[in-house]
Amino acid sequence: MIDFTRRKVLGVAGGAMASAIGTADLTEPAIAEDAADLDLFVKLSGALTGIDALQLAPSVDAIQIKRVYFKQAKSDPGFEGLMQIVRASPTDPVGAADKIMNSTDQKIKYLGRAIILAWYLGAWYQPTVLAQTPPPSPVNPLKVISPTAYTQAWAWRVAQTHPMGYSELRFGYWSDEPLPIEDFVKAKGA
Amino acid sequence: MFDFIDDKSLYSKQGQERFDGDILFPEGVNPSADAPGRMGAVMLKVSWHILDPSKDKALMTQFHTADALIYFPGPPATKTGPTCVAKTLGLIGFHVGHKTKFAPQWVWSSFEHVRNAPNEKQVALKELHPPYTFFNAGCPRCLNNKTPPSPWDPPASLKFHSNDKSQVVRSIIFPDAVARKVDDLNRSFGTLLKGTVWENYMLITTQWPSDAKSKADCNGAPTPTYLANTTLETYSQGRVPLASSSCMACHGNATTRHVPATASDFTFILEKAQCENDICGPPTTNKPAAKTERCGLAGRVAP
Repeated sequence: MIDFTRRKVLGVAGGAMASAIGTADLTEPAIAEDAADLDLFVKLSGALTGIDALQLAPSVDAIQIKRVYFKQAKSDPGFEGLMQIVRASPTDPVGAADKIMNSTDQKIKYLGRAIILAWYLGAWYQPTVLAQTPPPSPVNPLKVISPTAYTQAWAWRVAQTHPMGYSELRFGYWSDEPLPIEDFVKAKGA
Repeated sequence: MFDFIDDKSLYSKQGQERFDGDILFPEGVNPSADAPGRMGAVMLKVSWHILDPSKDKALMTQFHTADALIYFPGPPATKTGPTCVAKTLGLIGFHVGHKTKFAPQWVWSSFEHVRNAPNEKQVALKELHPPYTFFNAGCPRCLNNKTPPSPWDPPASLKFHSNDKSQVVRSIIFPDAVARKVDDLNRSFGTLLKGTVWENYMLITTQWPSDAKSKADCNGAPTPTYLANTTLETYSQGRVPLASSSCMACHGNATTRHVPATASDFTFILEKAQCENDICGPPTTNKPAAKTERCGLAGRVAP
């Protein structure tokens, strides 16, 4: 006779299952040829934005916003040229970012800027529009990339605040001083 | 959890007003050489399906059942009543929240009866295994997960008087890797539970905090981000921030009932607190809200 007391069953439900699932790879299977590029894209994004790559894409990353931005950037005609620069310096994303931002190829240069804007604002600005001289005023994005991109936009955290209608802070937080910026942008364990 | 609420008199609005601390339920203690361990707080939320003892006789053995009284408090809460209707209920879904030292945001597991509903993929590929309790492939006019046209106050007869038809489909909201891991777990537990009614129940998945110490995300970066039970969050399955079901993102907003309210450590139970002696006036004190440290976590989360 199996002894199933309620406590025993519930204890297993909470603990063992969480630890087992916790070890699962939370990502959708990457297309093989994209996996390395995705990794480089995140490193480049860290260099471009000044935010630790581990914060942009934590090791346990349930949200996977990096894939959304990678897919968006990949649809741009400047993407292959941009990635060639990153692939040539896989261990030097800062150097690659410098080359991209100062590239004479307008497609690459302004794609770099569009990637920065995507991470900070969750919106996609077309590189061709960013490249216009004189620049349009105002510069409007093509789109908000997704609802998740809106809530994950780093501008909120850099401003030590949160999107309208979406807060991950506890009830009553509005009567507290804002958290220091380090709590929003520093990588886990840093 | 029960003892914590009872000891601190948090079951009443006035008790909550008198309580002068932070509401932090026990997180459990690991066993040591000197002392036995103690589980952290556990809470359950369950959903039931009414079973007819004659019509559903064959089904009865497949469900965990309970003989229950369904309460209709009467106007204005319900059109009929006050009355109680005796019914046999079959368990169709439940959540288990478990607070631990490493998960002060609690660990949230959701379970369902295996016969509740097919998932989107099974419906699309017509890989159905009927009968389902809440899905009928022979009803083309029954739209999937369609919300009722208006709020519905069931009469004591419990008959649903509407031409509106809807049925339930499980949305696929987890990455394949998580779904595979859950399938493995369900197979393992299915073997262990063979011969009991519990072999007819399955884990949907478990949501846990992947960054429990975060001060900027008091929900601790819930992983997976979304979790829905087709019987408890039928209409909010999905992957849209705020709109779609997430245990922690929802329960993280829970508060007490008293004024000024305070965070209630991920349980809505305290919002249901009753008034002592049926007196529900304005707050008897005007003390400031309890000063919980950031997220109620600072210095408390195990490394």
